[in-house]
Order: sequence, then structure tokens, then C-alpha cells
Amino acid sequence: MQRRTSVRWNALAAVLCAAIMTLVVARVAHAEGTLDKIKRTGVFLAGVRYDFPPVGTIDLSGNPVGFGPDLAKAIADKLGVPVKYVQSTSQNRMPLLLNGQIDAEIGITTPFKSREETADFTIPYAWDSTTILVHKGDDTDPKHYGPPKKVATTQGSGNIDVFKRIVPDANFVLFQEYPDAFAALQNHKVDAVVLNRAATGVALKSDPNLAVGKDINRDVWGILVRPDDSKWRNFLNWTLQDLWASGEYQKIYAKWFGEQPWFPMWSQYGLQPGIGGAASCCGQ
Amino acid sequence: MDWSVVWHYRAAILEGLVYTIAISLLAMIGSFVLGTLLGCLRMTHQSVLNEAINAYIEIVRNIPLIVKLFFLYYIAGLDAFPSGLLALVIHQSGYIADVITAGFRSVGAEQAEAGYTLGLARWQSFLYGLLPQVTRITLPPLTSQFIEVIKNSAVVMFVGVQELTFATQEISQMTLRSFEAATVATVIYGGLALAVAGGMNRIGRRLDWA
Repeated sequence: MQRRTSVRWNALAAVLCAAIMTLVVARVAHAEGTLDKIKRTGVFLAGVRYDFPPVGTIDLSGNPVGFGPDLAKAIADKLGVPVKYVQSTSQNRMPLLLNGQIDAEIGITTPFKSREETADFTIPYAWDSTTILVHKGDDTDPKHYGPPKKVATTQGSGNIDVFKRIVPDANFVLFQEYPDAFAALQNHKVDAVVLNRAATGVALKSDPNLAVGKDINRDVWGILVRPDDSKWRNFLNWTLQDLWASGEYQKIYAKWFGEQPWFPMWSQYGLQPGIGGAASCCGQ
Repeated sequence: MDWSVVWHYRAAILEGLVYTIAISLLAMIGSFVLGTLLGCLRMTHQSVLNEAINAYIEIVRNIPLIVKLFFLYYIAGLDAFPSGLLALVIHQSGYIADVITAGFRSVGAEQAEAGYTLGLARWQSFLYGLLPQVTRITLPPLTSQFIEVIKNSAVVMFVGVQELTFATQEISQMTLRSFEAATVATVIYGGLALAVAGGMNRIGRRLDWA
């Protein structure tokens, strides 16, 4: 009898825990806009990746470096406040944002429709493509990597859908981090890794026996912000274009990707009317 | 909060749950058998054997589970599910062996000696005298060990086994609804742990009547 009671108490405790979690989550309300909050606290909390060079990684002394951190710094300069970097991962970026631990995430987040139902995104701030990484000498055409061949990528990667468009019955092995997927390729556990072109540089540098395949699709990245905060999102949208108009964006991009951006900001016809003076051409 | 995403991903969650239950159950049985065997062998007090078992337990307990998993998967070259299962079995067997050893110690040598004075052979004294008492004593710590297996089973997602944690991560990855995903995982793992505790309680009560 004693034991049965204790089991019932356990069940009650579990329900209570779930209820408390719900309450904690419900507490997260945002009366104050992010832009005002940054002005008040005097710091821009930027979520950046530590695990995805060259977009975001850490140097030997543990400081975040990369395209994302540099862009965050440029945005902070426009805000006139210092930047504070917070590590974001595919798993924690949303809780960090909703809890107010970051004001924006400048990582490699593609604005899926399903994601936009929970958060908001700025205009695309960089373009990438989906491709495959294979052993040198192997077929570089992604179309030829259907079953029985196995392909690896990371869980939740937008590249899964992209690859399935050309190989609908693809045999995926899903890892949590890209280094694990690379290891699986090197150990012949899989025949190819489906990944962003931006991530191939690191893999090639670490293993010269690998080769990059053909591009499958283009893919955009947006800065992730809290939903329903137009003032902040507008600020970021305009700042991205201002940085482009002044050439600072291109400088940062070239520093980390080794080439000038091959894509336009906002549209191929120019920047949004009203931005950057003469640089935004053509709008009537 | 939007709980509809949980419903939307129900098939993935269910499939993940099946994997979690399958690998946990097999790992519990495997680690229990291996751990009990090691614990019993330790009681024979053969010095070489004892040293070997002590070394095994020490190594197994000091190497993180994920390192074992990566070794079995990447270096030994096993498939994802077998390497996950074997890693879980090896990992928990070290702890269970210790639990069993502690059980024997708490029963005490005089119980075995009492068996000998009754004219029982060594194995009879062990099987009918010691083992039932040890089993009863070790049930509560074994329950914790089995619950530990369930919780540890999430590690196998690192080699691509799409178990429960993997499935709930899928929700947070695709919809960014991490709170809902984490809550679902918590509730299901809690339920599994309660089921194990309940099952062990039933076994315990049956043993009390025996």
C-alpha cells in the first residue's frame, strides 16, 4: 500500500513539473520592444554560432569569430552600443530568443514557413546553396545518390527537403552535428554528406580526400527575431541594406567567404527605395 | 504555446517511442544479465578473475557513454542500432555489477555458511540461500539503474537512431517550438520511468510473498 501511494505521488510530481514549465513559458511576454530594450540596457545581445565556420566559430582564446559575429558587431555599431555574443545552436536559438537572452540570432537559419509561424525573420541577409560532399573521385552529381547509397546530414536541416526533391526516396542518416556526419563519410558509413556550400570549406581543409559536388538548390538565411516586433525588424532590415550601401557588408562577406557576394541585397534591381541614397537605384 | 505541433508530429513521436522502448528494454535485459554475471563471478574470490572484473568495471564507469558509442559505431564499424544497444549494455553493466556485489556484501557470508551447515552444496547455498535475498535487496537500486538506461538511451540519436529525443528534437527544429517539444519528451520519459518503477514494485511484492 505504501508503495502504491508513492507511485501516485510520483505521478503528481510529474504533472506538477509539467504545469510549472507551462507557467514559466507563459510568463514570457514582451511589453517592451527590442529596440527600446537595447537602448535602455545599452547592450546588443547577439546569438551567434560557435559550431559553423566560417559563419560562426570560436578562436583559440574562445572568442566568437566569423561572418555572423562580425555582422552583429557592425549592427551594434549602428545601434551605438557594445555587442555581447551568446552561443546559439539549432536547438537553443528559439528559447534564447523568447526568454530575452538574445535580441536576434545571426546564424544559418533559413526562414521555413513552419518556423515563421513561431518567430519572425528579417529580409534574407545571405544566400547559400545545398550541395554534397563526397570522396574524391566519386560521382559528384547529387542525383546519383539514391538508395542503396546512404547520405548523411544533420537533424532538422533544410537540406533534407531540398535533397528529397531530386532523390525522393533518399536513404538519410541524420546526425546532430556536421563533424559527426563528416566522420561517417570518412569512415565509409555513408556515401555523401548533404550540406550547405558554406560549410564545405572547413571539411575540405581538414580532409583533402573529400570533394564538393554540384549545387542542388539556392537557400537563404534570415536573422531570427521575436515575433510581432516590427520596429526592431525594420531597424535590422534597413541596417542590413545600409551596410550593403556603404560597402561594409561586402567587406565582411569577402573576409570570411573569400569572395564578393554573388547575390544582391533586397532585390536584383537595387535596395529598398529610401535606403542609402543613390545606391538604391531604379525605383520609380 | 501551441500544442497542435505535437499532434502534427505524432507519427514521428510514436515511432521514436517504439525505438526508445525497444533499445531500452533490450539494454536493460542485456546489462542486467551481464552485470549480474559479473557481480556473481566477483563473489567467487578468484584473484585473477576478480582483478579482471574490477578492471572492466573501472574502465566502463570512467569512459563516457558517448565515447563508447562513437567507438563502436565509427571505429568498430557496427551499425547504428547494434552499436547503441551494445554501448548501453556495456555502460550499465558496470554499475549493475557493483549493485549486485553490494547486495551480496549486505547479505553476508554467514548466510552462505548457514547453508553449508544444513548440508547444502556450495551452488545450492548460493542459489537457494543467497540469491533470493540479494535479489530482494538489490531491487530498489536496480530500479534506478533501469531508469538510467531509459534516460541514457537518448544518446543513440548521435549516431542517427531516430528514437524519442530525436523525434521531439524534430519538432523544435522544424517549428522552433522547443518548449512544447521538451515538455512532450519530459512527460513521456517520466511515464516510462514510472512504468519501470511500477513494474519493479510488482516484482518486489511478489518476492515478498515468496
